[in-house]
This record gives sequence, structure tokens and C-alpha cells, in this order.
Amino acid sequence: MVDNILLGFQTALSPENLLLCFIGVFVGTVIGLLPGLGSSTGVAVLIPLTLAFEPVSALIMLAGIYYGAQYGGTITSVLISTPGEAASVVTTLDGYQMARQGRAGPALAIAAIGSFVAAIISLVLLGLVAPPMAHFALHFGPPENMAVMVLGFATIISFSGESKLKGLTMAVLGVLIATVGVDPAGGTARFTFDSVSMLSGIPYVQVMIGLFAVGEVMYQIREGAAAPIHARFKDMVISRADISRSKGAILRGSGLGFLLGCLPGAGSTLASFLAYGVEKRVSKRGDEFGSGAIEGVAAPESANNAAANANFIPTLTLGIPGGATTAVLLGAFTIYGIQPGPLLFNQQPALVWGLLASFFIGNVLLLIMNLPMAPVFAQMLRIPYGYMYPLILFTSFVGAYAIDNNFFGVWIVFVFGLVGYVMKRFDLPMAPLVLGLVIGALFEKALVQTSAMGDGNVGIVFTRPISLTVLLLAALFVFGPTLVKRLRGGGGGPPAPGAPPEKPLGAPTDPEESRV
Amino acid sequence: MTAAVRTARAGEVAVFAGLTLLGAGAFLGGLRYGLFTDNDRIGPGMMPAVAGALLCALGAVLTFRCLTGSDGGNEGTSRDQGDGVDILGRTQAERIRHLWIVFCLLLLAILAVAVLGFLVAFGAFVLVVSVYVERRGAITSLAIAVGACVVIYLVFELFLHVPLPTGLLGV
Repeated sequence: MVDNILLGFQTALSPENLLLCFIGVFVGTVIGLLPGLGSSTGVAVLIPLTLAFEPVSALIMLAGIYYGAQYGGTITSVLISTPGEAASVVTTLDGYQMARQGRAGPALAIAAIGSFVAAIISLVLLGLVAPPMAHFALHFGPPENMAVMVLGFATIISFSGESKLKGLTMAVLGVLIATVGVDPAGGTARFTFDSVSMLSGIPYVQVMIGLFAVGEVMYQIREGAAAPIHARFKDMVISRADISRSKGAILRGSGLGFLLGCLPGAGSTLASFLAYGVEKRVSKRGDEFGSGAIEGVAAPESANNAAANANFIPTLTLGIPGGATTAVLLGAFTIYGIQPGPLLFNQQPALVWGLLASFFIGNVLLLIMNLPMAPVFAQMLRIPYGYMYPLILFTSFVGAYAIDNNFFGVWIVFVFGLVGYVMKRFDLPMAPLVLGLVIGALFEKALVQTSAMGDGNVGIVFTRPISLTVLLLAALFVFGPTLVKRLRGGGGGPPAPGAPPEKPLGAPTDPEESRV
Repeated sequence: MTAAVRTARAGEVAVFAGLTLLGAGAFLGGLRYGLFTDNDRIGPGMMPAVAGALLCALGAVLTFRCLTGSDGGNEGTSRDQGDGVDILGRTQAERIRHLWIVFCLLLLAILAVAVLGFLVAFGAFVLVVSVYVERRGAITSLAIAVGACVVIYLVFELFLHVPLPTGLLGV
């Protein structure tokens, strides 16, 4: 293995590949900054530019765009509460609150550090366990996938606080929205009102832009102009205490992200939500989550980066894409005449290990670029909001159009902007809605396939060891804390009358207390 | 309870009641699509029906809690409880008026894309909001609007080859 890693670094560190890695990371970061243009769009748009390169060089550049775009999306999540991808939604919860408190610099820095550590951990794990993990992933059929989705829903229930009811309602609403379009079982058009654009469903990226970017702008207009944030320079730089607080969150997030990233389809979104939920549960400062806890940024950012890297396990070893971006990259593989599969590691070690080593180098470049740049990006918040919000709206609508060059996306953003405003107005959490929307469609597909496997009996999900274990884990997630409290004699019943309610996941905090 | 808080509560009840109705509609729609296929497998209506029924039930509970005040007495946001003035001296009534003006301007900009093209329609939106709603200097606002159009054109049209709608003017 050491020989392979050395070969990988030898390939990735050639001047040409190093330059292409840098260009990929830089261009990816810029693309990630544009609302709506996530890593999959960025990679798809830029594939034609790489056709003249050697396959390994082209893939190194495209992979650079992949994680560069993810970090770019983090910057907008933290600064203007506009996630570039579903995986960055959770980052807005605490990242944006940190920014409103003048701590955007540390939030961006911990995201870069968390991503870097996650990249190292996932690189080592990729090298050690890629083939066995790929075989393990092969045991994941529809019932197991369905159980993983249930685990995702369980996280919503487990960390929605006092407002579990509201969180659950929003998650169900998300699932309901996900049913719009052609059904996965027989191709029936549902709730499309004879619109051709609705046949492919409600696109979740545009929904996210509407809810988060437009909804937030409208809410801020209603709340009134806040003073531009003038934080001291030392508050813009990450401190040792911040790093110390985030260590555990980064390690746990990386491990969880890697595990979920290995599973085809489960992806980075679920990883980031689960990492946040677990962190809120295990952290001593769980009550600070949602109002600017740095662990709330570190955990999901580490998880989605580790998951992004682990997505390459099913992609490289099985030829099954782990997520949307790796699906696009799989297309690039075939363009370059590379056949992913179990033999790829043996047949093309320079390509595989060169690509894996480039993840490490790309993340080093991201760290070098973004640690000093984090306070600079944070200066953006000094711009008066009156100038900034028309530009946020402009780029949001252009981004929504550019995703698939379809004006339908612009209307989706407008409608969900109004929905987002209403949700913020009445303290309805948005993150569960996005999670419901993203995993609702996957859940239904797994449910239909499970039903077909069991010849109409979905109960087979309880008869398979892996799916049963995952379901038990989900049950533990939901009922575990109450049981533990009861066993310790601490009650676990409803909060005492007059006790302050716990803040729901993703609900806005009082703007008066969040502004500096 | 102030008038603003009463209005907020009424709005909350309307939202939850709307969710209840939406859930009921989805449930009925799901039944129409069919819960099971001919060979007893999950049909196209199962997910909408289950999600709809759940949404209907949850929405009804939230509406009931809101009406009876058993939801912890959410008294609306802090700004609902007074006529708070922001740093630009705008009252809540003015801010709410601005909010709806921006919404209407946004709708106008979207509708104007077919005529003016994406860049001109949204460039004009940025300019009008900055000058008319935010009372910023006309020259600075114009510079920002033109600058934004140029950057968007360079990034989306030239670099990413996104064909933004041009409208009747061809811009």
C-alpha cells in the first residue's frame, strides 16, 4: 500500500497535475460561490475543457472542482445563509448565526480545517478499506437503503427539540413535495397539473435557493436594516479554543461521513444531517446548537467532505456512483476510456492513487487558500445590507436559471422564496423540509423496490440483518435519550411549565440577540 | 396581547390550517392514484396518501395547539410586540410595506425577462430597489447595477456558456 501511495503522490505532484489541481480547486470555489451552481453542475459544465488532458490530469482537475465547489458553497452558507448544495444546508444553522455574531472568520476557517482533516482520514481509510467496503456496500439492497433513509428521518425527530412536531411536519411536507412528478413504480404523473416541467418533479436545489436565499432576504427586510458587522480582526481569526472545541466534532463527523459516503446513493446530505444530530446529542454544549456553536459547523462540514471522498469507493470499485457529482465524474471516466470496477485498482494504480493523492493535495491547497482568506471573505458582511440583498436576489435567480437553462426554476425560486419567508416568520424549521425533500424521493424508490423484492411484503426489511440493525439504530436515536433519562430517574417527560422551549432545528433565532 | 401579536397568531393559525388542507388534498389525490398495484405492490398513490394523511394530522394538531394556546404561548417575534424602529429609522409598518414592494418588483422583473432579457430586467430590479426602496445614491446604485450585470454576463454567458434569455431587445 505504501508503494501505491508513493506512486499516487508522484503522479499528483507533477508540476502539470499540481497546476491543474490548483485551477480545479480555485474554479470550483468560485463556482460554489454562485447560488445554485453546485459541484455536479460545475463538473458537468467544465468536462469539455479537460478533454485535451491526460485522463489522470483531467480527473485531478475535475475532482478539484468537486471539493472546491463544496467549500465555495460553505462560504455562501455561512455569510449569506445560501447553501450551494443540500449537504451545506446544516452548515447554515450555526455558520450563519456565527457570521451574524461577527464570527464568520472562525466559521469559515473551521470548515476548511474540518474538511482538511476529513480528507486525510478518508484518504487513509480509502487506501485501507476501499475494496472490503465496496463489497460491504454490495450487500446494500433496497431494504437496507430504505432503513438508512429511516435513520435519516429519525435524526429529524431526535434533534428538533421542543418543536419536534414542527420539525416533523416540515419533514413530511418535504416528502410530500418530493412525490410531485412521475412515480418510480409505474410512471404515473402525480400532482403535475398537466405541466411538462413538473413531470421531473420539483427540483430541490431551486427549492433550497428559494427557501434560504430569498426567504432570508425577505425576512431581513421585514426585520429591518441591521448595522453592518464590524468585528475586530482577532474575532475574525480562529482561536485555539475554537479548534479545541471542534476536535471531537471533526473526528466524529469524518468517521460518520466516510461510512455513509461508502453507500451508493446515501450521500453527503444524509451524512451532514446525521453528523449534526449526533454532535448535538453528544456535545456538552448541545443547547448552543442553532445559535452559533462552532461544533455545529465543524461536524457537518467534516462529514460532507469525508462522504464526498468516500463516494469514490463505490464509483471506482463498483462503477456505481455514490452521489450526483460522482455520477457526472463516472461519465467523464467513460469519455476518457476508463472502465471503473473491481480491477481498476490493479490495472491502473497510477490513475487511482494519483487521484486519491490529489484529494489530499487539493485539500491542502484549499486550506492554504482559505485560512488566510476566511477573514477577507468575512469582510463582505461590512457591506450595507441595502446594497447586498438586491445582488443576492439577482445571483440567486440567475443561478436557478443556469442549473438546467430552464425558466421553470426561476418560478420555483420565487414561490419557495415566499414559502421560506412564511416559514421564518412563523418559526418553522427549514432544514427538515430540505431533508424530507432530498431523501423522500430516495425513500419512495427504495420502498417500491423493497415491495417488489418481497412480492408486495415490505416486512422483509425486518428480516435482513443489516436493515434490521440500521432500524434498531434509528429507534435508539429516537427513544434512546428518553430511556436513558428514565433509567437515571431524570424523568424525560415534557418540560416543566414555564421552562424555555428548545429551539427547533433551523428555526431563526431572535434577530435582536444574534446581531452584533 | 397587542394587535400585532394577534395578527401573528391569526397568520400562524392560517398557515397550519393551510397545511392541514394541503395534507387532506394530497391524501385524497393519493387514493385516486392507487395505493397498491394490481399485484399488491406499493402503488403510485401510497407515498402521497401516507404523507398527506400525516401532514393533515400534524397540521390539525398544530392548529389546535395554536388556537388553544397550548403551544407554549409563542407570542411572535420580538418585533411583533412593538413598533421597533431600525437603524435607518424605519418603523415596522414601513418595513412591511418595503417587503411587499420588493416582492412585487421581483415578480415584475421575472415577468419582464421575456421582454427586456434577464440581465436588463434584473439589472433594473437592482437599481430600482437600491434607489427607490433603500434610498441609496442614484450614481452608486447605477454603478452597482451595471457592475453586477457585467459580472453576471462574464461568468454565466462567457465562461459557463449559459444562454441567458435575451428578450425582445436582444440583450
